[in-house]
Amino acid sequence: MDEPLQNAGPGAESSPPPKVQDISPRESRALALGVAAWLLPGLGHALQMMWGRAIVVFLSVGLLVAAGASMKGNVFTRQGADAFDKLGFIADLGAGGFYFVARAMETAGADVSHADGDYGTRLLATAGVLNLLAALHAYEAARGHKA
Amino acid sequence: MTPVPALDLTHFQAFLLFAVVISVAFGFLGRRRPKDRFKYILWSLFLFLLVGIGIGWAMFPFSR
Repeated sequence: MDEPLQNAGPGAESSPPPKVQDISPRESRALALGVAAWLLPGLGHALQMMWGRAIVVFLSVGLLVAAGASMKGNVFTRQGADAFDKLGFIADLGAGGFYFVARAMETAGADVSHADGDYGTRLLATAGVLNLLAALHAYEAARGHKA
Repeated sequence: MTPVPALDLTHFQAFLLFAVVISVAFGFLGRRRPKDRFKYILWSLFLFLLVGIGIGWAMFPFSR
């Protein structure tokens, strides 16, 4: 059975505005760890003493970025020509600080006229998405969820 | 920064690099105990290879 409507109609009393819940210290710490994990791959886990995960995330994202840039993959910039470029930029930016490492490594620019360059583009995007997943994992672990 | 030397990988090598790195990362993030991690990494890698090679063969008739 439906609950009766309260405060319905123009003459009804207006209900008090809902209270804005304060962000608990644990939640704000989890957010900070998530951002740290995004900025430097593995940092979010390292700050929670999850050393194995921290090392693996750092090396995985670093290896993918190094391989992708060495294969002359496309590192997308903010000035994307179309929606796919913008999506590529978001994916690449997921690598946090390593995004700038990739740009610094590719001083000669991308070359996607060969399959290698195309694979490199995918590896760079994979590095970004993997780091976002790891940052989400660090955030959830800091919130106390099973990880 | 000086330009890094170009990495020249075959299709299969690039695919294998992707599969190994992602499997290891998934194993460490998804499982806690070392034995479970090892089993997850092997299983994930096997599935990556199976699906990748399977899709490759499925596309073979349309490749020419």
